[in-house]
Formats: sequence, C-alpha cells, structure tokens
Amino acid sequence: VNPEPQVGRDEGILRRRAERLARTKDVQSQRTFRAHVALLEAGDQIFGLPVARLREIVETPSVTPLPRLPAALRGIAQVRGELLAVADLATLLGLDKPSRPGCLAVLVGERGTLGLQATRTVGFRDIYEEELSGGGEGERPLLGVTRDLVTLLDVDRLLANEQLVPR
Amino acid sequence: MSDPSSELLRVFRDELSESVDKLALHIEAAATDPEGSAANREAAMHVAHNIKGAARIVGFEAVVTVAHALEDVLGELPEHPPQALTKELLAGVTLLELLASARADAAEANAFAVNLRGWLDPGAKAGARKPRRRKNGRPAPSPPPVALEAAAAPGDPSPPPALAAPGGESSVRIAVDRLDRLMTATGELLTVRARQEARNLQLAALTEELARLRRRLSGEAAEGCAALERRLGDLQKADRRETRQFHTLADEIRDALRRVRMMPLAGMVGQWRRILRESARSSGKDAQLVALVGDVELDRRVLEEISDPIMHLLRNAVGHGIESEEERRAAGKPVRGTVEIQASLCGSMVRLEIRDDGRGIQRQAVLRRALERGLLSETDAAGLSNHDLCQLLFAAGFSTAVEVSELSGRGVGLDIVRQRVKSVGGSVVIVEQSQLGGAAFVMDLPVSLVSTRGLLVQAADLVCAIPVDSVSRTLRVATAQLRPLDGGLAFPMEGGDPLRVRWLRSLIGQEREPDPDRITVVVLERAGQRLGLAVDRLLGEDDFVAKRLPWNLEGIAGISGAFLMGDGKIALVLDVAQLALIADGTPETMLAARASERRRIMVVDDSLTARTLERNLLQSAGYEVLACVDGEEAWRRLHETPVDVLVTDVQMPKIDGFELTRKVRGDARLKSLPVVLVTGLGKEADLAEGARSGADEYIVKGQFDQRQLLAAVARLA
Repeated sequence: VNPEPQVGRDEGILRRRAERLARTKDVQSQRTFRAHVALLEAGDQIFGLPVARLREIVETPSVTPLPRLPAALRGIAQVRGELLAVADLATLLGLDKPSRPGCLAVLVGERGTLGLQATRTVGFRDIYEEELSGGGEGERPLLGVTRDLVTLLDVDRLLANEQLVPR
Repeated sequence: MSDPSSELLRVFRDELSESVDKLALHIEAAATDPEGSAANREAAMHVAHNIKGAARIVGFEAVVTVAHALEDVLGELPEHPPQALTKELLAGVTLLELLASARADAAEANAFAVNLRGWLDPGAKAGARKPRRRKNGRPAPSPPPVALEAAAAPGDPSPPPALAAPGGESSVRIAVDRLDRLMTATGELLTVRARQEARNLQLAALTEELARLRRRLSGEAAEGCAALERRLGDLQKADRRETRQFHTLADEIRDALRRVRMMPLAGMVGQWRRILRESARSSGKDAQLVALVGDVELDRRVLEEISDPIMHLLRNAVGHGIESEEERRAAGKPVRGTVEIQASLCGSMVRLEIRDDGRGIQRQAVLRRALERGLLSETDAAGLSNHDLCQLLFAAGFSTAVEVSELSGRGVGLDIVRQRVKSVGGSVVIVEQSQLGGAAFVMDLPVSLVSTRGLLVQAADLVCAIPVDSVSRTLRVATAQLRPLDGGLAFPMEGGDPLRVRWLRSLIGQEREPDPDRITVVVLERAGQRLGLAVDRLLGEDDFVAKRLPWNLEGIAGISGAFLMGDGKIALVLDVAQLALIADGTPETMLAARASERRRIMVVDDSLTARTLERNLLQSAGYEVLACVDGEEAWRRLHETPVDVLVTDVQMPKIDGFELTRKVRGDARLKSLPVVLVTGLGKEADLAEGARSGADEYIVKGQFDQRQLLAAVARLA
C-alpha cells in the first residue's frame, strides 16, 4: 500500500490532538500563554483579536462612504474625534457573509488605526499555544484555530491587506 | 537682504541663541571626552548645519559664512583635536552670537571663515600655517584683507541686519508641534461652537412650539404654558448671548493663532536670490531674480512645505527656461535673463507665480522625453493638447530621477512639487506663456491652515465642503440648456467659454438620479481653470478645520480631508484641483442620457382645475404626465401604458380613488406601483381608509402645496 501524503498529514494532526487531549491537568497548567483576545463574531464565525492591539471596541458609529472604495472598506467614521477607515472583518477575510454592523473594534497598527466592523463582541478569553492548530498557511491572516473554533487573527497581516489601501 | 525689522529675523535670533549653546557644548565635549568624540562632533556639525540653513532663510550671509566654515572644519575634526583648534571653533561660536546682536560684521565673519578653513589645509595641522590667535575667545576685530574678501563665500556686502538688542522687543520661540496642538484644540473649539449654535436654534424652535401649544389651550393650562414659554424664551436668549460671546472668543483665538503662525514671504527672498545666482553660475548663464512679494505672509507650515518646491522651480527656470547668452543674443533678448516671483493675496489663498523670460515649454522636447519614459504612445503624442502636455510635466517619472548640483543637493521632480503643494491644500499649474514670454508656474496656496471657509453642498446622502476660495459663483441652470461638449455637457455662458458641467454625485461615486428641470451648479475656479459642479442642494457656508483622511485612504482622488459637523456627521472636503482632473476623464453623456430619461406620472382627477394644476406642476418638474378624468379611464389606461407613479383624486364617479388603489394593489402586474392619493377631505377616517387601500402617500388638498406633491412624487418615482 502506498500511503497518500495527505493521509500522513491527517494522522499527524490526529496524533497531536490525541496527545493534547490525553494530557493530565498537571501538564495543562503549564500551558504557554499566547494572547488575551477579544472575541468578535463576523460572518457566523468567532475571531480572536489580541487586546494588546486593540484600542477599544465601540458600537458601530455612522459610517460615511467614500468614492471608489474596495468592497472590504465601508468608509470613514469618527471615534472620539479621530477619523478612521472602517473595514468589514468578514469581507476582509473573504467570508461569504458580510458582518452585520454591530460593533467596531479599533485596531492599532504601525501606520495608524483601523476600525474593524463585526457583528458583535462575544467576550474575552486567554488563548494558549497548546490549544491552537493550523494557521500560518494560505493567504488569510490567521494564526490558528482553537479547539472550540475561535480563530486567532494576525493583526499585522490583517493591516497589511492590500484591500485596505485603495489604488 | 531682508527687512531688518522682520519677524523672521527675531525668530531666527531666538533660535540662534539656543543653538549656539548646544554647539559650544558639543565642541567642548568633542575635545574633552574621547569616548563620545565622534558623536559630539557629529552633533556639533548638525547644529552648525542647521544654523547655516536657518541663516540662509533669513538672508543672514555673515552667519552663513561662519556656520558653513564651522561645519566644514568640524567634518574634518581629528579624534583628538588640538586645543588651539577647539578654541578657534569656540571663538566661532562666540562670533555667531556677536553677529546676531550686530556686534560683529560681515568682514569679521569672512576673516574668521578663511582663518578657520586654514585648518583644513594639511600644512596647517603641522603648524606651518597656524591661524592667528584670538584673545579671550573673542575674535579680534581685524580689518579683512582684500584678498580674503574675494575668497569668501558669495554674500551680500552690506552689514548684517541690525537686530533688536536682546530684550528689546520680547518674543518667544515655539516648537511647531506645540502650535499644531494649539491649532487642533482651536479646531475642536470651532466644532463646539457649531454645535452650540445648532442647540440654540433647537431651543428657539422649542419655544415656538410651546407658543403654538399655548394658543390651543385655555384657562389655567394656557397660563402655565405661557409662564413656561417665558422661562424657556429667557433661557434661549441667555444661551444665544453666550453663544455669541463664545463665537467672538473662538474667532479671536483663531485669528490670534493664525497671526502667530504667519511668516512673511519677504524673508525667503534672500535665499531665492542665492539659489538663482548659484544655478545661473553653475549653468554658465546670466539671470536675475525679481521678487514682487510685498508684505504677503503665509502659514509657517505652508512656507516650510513649499520651500523646496520653490527652489526647484527657480532652478528649473534657469536650467530649462533661460537660454544661453548666445541664444538670447540671437533671439534679440537682453543677455541677462529674468526670473520673477510674484505673490498676491486672493481671498484666503496666496497666488505665487514663478515666471521667466526664457524659451517657454518646448513641446517637442517634452514629447520626446514622455515617449522615452513610456508615459504616452506615439498616437497619443500626435493629438496631445497643450493643456495635457503641461500635465505630462507633472507626471511621476517624467523628471530625471535625481538631479545633483553642488548647492541644491538632491533635486525634486515636478511630481514632488505638486505633491508638496497639494499636501498643504494648494494647487499648481503650468502656464505655457507668461507675461514675461517664458513659461510660468502658478501656485495657489492657503494663507493659513487654521480654518477654511467652505460652501457646504449635498450630493446623495453626503455633505461635501468646497473651499470658498475655489467657488466663483453658484447658478441655477435649466437642464434643457445643457449641450454636449467634448464628451461631457456644457452650459453656454454669456460673454465667455461654455461652462463644463459635471455631476458631483458621479465624481464621488454616488448614484446619479434623474435631473429636475433646473439644477444647482457651483462654478469652481482655481488656477485659471473653470468647472461647473452640479450638486443636489446648497446647504450654506461654514468655517471648518479639515482633518486628513486616515492613513490608508489618503490616496482617494478628489477628497482632501474631512471634518466633523456640528451634528456629529462627517463632511468631506473636496479637492477642487483633483476633481477637475477626474472630471476631465469622466464621460458624462451616458449618465446624462440616463438622467434625462423621463418618468411618467398618471394624474387622475375629475376636476379640470385640479387636473390642470397637477399636470402643469409635474410637467414643469420634468415629468411626463398622463392625465385621466376618472378612475375607470385610469384603470383602462394603466394596462396600456406603463407609468412610474399614480397620483389620484379620492372622490370621483364610477371608480373612486380608494377603489382604484385597491384594484392596483390587487393586480399582479401593477401591485408595486406607487400611489399618491390627493383629496379635498381632511378627515382622519379618510387617511385611515387611504392607508388601508394601500396608498403610499396621502395629500390633503386643503393644505395643497406644490412642494408636497413634488416631494411625494420625487420620493416614489
């Protein structure tokens, strides 16, 4: 039998998962902390945004459209007197469903701030290295997914998305 | 040399007194601290360089000479500088101070510079040509040898400006970022002011509403209401007084801040003259600068931003405009070329024109360069208009990337010139032939960045502000008078070129709607270009402080910034120059065709008067009208001719308005047709019946108001 490479990979994932699940509580208490995140719902998925990169989360303010914006950009809004661009998280990640505008997470990047529109804030939690799998591959700015399906976002890659800068 | 009393010089003197302390500190440290020697030397060079630059701006040649010599010698400073050299350098620092307070003159500066440069001579270090010693660290007032004068840096032979003695007229130097912070806060103040005014209007409206209520009441209730009305009225009046007071104060603060930020252009002339002289010398031409700047002032940030662009344009004028002496002689022009800078105040903009009497724009040379750089194709080149040709000069990649000359260092391209001018909210265009014969660059710059007055207009749901300096007038134009022109529409103007008209909605990516009979057009005029902008509505004028768009949206064409209005909504500030460019490339005919697509309205009324009134009203608003005398005719014709809105009377023989509406709602094909009921009855039961029958709008004839019907139809059509 000639084992398919795909099967090999799947087995690897399953084995790592089994090992994780088989760990005793003791081992679990030595988990490696990865990030404290805000949980945002967008396009029926839950995303974790490291709070270290968040300035605040506010109710979606009224958004003023600008001409010729890429689909992911909704326009500009003012939060505490500051003008910022508003992007739709779901559209930015290429999900089918755009986020119903419920809240706006203000991200802080090197070049400035960005308002990220999501459906709602679900809560906050810590994410540990051990519970993450996948991520890093592909185009999307994802750092991994937890066992309970929280996708940890890579803020730097998210902000580097070229859809955010109209030509 | 610039005006000795100039404010710029005062600022310079303040700056210098701080810089010399730093300079002395670093020179001393470089000598005594071997570890930090290199860092201190660098720092000292940097300070000397800055002093040189600042002195150049105010045209203080003697300081330039000394600072320049210090910078050069510091650049060659050995790791362990001999004590004598350190002393000499410190003497230079003292000389700078003396020069600033007019206690030393240009001759001393030249003598010092020549002496100090002696250290650069390899022989000097060996002590062969050791410069003369000074006493007490103060340069001896030695008469300058004639030979040294000739070798000195080119400069104004006249003594340095007699600056006010320290403590004479008091002034402080403020970091620009602190001023900026103050400016931001003032901007917020203006926003608060606008909100306050809006609130006062609300209070006034509330008082009126209360008065109306009182009139409908009687007895005790009316009396109570009247008391409330008086108290509310008093409150509103007091609030208005304070709002006015606040208004005045905010204006005063803004104006004071504006003045603080102002710098006279005259302070730049010395520097411009030097640049021109240098570029003329290095290109072997003869040119003079004529500066006609008067007492025009600019915001210091604007001045900073355009300082390099102006220098570039001056070098350009000499390099590309002014011909060689032989060519000029052959053309019968005076051998010495002239470059003129003229500044004039137009409203809140300063127009700066830089023109020369050279050869003008060389069409063939420009086309050749553009073809070489792939900026256009052979076919494009053939039919290129002069206007487009000039635009090419501003294209990124047109200028040679880096032009290095001894004085200027790195050159900037014309694209950078435009970008810089734009960054402060200005614009720049080329005039092919100026009044001097050669080409000219015309810059329009905002006098101040503190606040701008803008005309607020509406396009779809967006509020846009057009800086009033760019607005020459507003017009009401009958759409029927618009004619196709150059792939767009234009309005014939008496005694002038036709006015090109573009719709703001399409320029800023909003959906166009069918145009009413008459449209509102804002005539924009900037740097000699004119464009008509069709807007939905004029909302009035207001002062605003524009904020830049967020980092990722700075490239949005046609919009230069935004600001918060009193009601917290965002208004977009239009970039008029760029909008004109977008307009050039926007085909409006197609949209215009769609816009003129007539909407058909059916009017049903058994009264001839009512029918005629409604028909005329709707027709004059640009609708096509189908009139029917009763419900039966209407029902029949609805099946023959498609209409966009049905306007029907309620009380009619045979089929009445309610019945007609119910029939329409029950018909598979017609059920979504908008229906407006018009009736003489004003009873609540009728309104309810109308709503039950499925009408979209209900207009009572007793209150019949043309606008009401038009608004209802416009909403539904």
